[in-house]
Amino acid sequence: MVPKKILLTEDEMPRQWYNILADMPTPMQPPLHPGTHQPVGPDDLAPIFPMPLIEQEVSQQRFIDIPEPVLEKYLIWRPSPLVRAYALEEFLQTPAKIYFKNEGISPAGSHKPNTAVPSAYYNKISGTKRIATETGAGQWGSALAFAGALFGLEIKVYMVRISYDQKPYRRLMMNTWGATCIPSPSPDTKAGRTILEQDPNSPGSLGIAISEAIEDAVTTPNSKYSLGSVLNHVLLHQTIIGQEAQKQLQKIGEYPDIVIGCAGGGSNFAGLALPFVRDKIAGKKIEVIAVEPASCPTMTKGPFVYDFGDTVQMTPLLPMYSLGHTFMPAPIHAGGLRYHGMAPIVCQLILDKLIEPRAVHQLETFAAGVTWARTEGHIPAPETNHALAVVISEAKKCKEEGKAKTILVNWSGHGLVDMMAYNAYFEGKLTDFELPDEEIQKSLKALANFPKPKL
Amino acid sequence: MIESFDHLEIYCPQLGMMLTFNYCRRSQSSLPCRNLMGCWEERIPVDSFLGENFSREDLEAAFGGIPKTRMERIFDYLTQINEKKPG
Repeated sequence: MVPKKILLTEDEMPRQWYNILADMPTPMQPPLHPGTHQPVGPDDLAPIFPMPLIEQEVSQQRFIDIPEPVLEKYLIWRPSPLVRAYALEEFLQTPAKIYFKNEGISPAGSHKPNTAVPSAYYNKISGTKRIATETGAGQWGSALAFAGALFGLEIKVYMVRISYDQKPYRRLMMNTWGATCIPSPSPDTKAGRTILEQDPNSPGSLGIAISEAIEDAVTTPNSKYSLGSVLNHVLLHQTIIGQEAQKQLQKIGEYPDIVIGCAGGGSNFAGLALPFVRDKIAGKKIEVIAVEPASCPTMTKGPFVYDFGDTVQMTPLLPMYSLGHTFMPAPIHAGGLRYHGMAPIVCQLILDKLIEPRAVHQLETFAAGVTWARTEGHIPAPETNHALAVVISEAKKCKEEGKAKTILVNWSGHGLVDMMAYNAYFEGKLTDFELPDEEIQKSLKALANFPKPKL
Repeated sequence: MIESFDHLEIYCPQLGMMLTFNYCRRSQSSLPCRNLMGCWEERIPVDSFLGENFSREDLEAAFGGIPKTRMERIFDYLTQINEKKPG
């Protein structure tokens, strides 16, 4: 019988995290402190992070030992299975072999505990009594709540108010693990009180929640702050995913041609991909694809930036659009310039052409998620669907070209508390184009007198 | 009308959940989300919507400048907190 799941024993679980900073062709520049414009040092980070995490943030050591207490906690759900998606392959009639690393089996339902657990551990041994953090829809908050429960830490989560009101299940998970979860903006911080004075009904934002969590951590004794994406040490902790996958594939004599992950802040993608990027740096032929939403592209186009005519010398060269009679800015895609929400390591590897960024539209992602659920059974998280859309697209390409490539994807989390997103998809509320004709004409008319970009 | 598109829904990659346009147009202290243009440009006439409903100053506040990295934002908040500390 052909195996469906490739499993590692507990003894085979990797004992070290992989640090790609040791192997990057272009060394990472340290971030600059906005006040001093000098490289950020340990003293700058000490108010919010414990020293072991700060050391990991800047470490150039290739492999870093996973502490025994962290390994013990990892065993609650790790090693995670590597699974062959036979049913999807059959449905697509593709010669491709599709493997997925199932990170949805963790207690919090995603890859996030891979870093929440060591973050809680290092705080614990450093004397931290409580951790403050922010969360959007609750994935990170619930992971840290789980980790806090394991190490006896008090966890306070500032959850963006609109999520707090609309997504009760994640906050109930946090409560179940003993964390305090409050809606942000809150009356508990100066930042929150200022916002509430201006707008008592503020729905909150991630920015407000971050500022509240940091203020809380800095002004409360024995408290620290924790972040579940973007930073180097977070990506480091996630590399257990890719290292396990390498061992599992080795067991069956496979090696991927294509590695795929969805990338929001970059941590789950990096967790799977970085050990394979190491191989690529060493000469292996392998495609590594980071997938993001076409609607909010930070890697493929860069963010939209309004450059105002009086401050930007290049303005005459830029395509001009109209915002009505009172405002004439030049919206541009600052392509490749700045990735404000993405992990710097991932950005640098894109610039070094070791990772290929790709964008997919939201309808395509939900269609992929539904196809996955109806073939492989598991219902993916909406962000995971972005990776699955590219898996399906690559598998179809294999069919067209008659190539039996091996595709590996990070199945980063389940979507069981995201069913309202699926409901919106089923009810047709996510169509990519909703502009009525008269609106398009009105919009075009407004642009008629402005110079047109040469595309 | 500023409410014209409030009912439309989108999956927000930043928050990781479904949101209506109503949130996107007021998520930064009553100003639009920085990502509004990118997220909605294919679904609504973003340019005319913003021009009709916000002043130039509002739009500069919402979209002006280069977005900051997460680490830069963290240090900004830390600096603000330290400046507010008494004596």
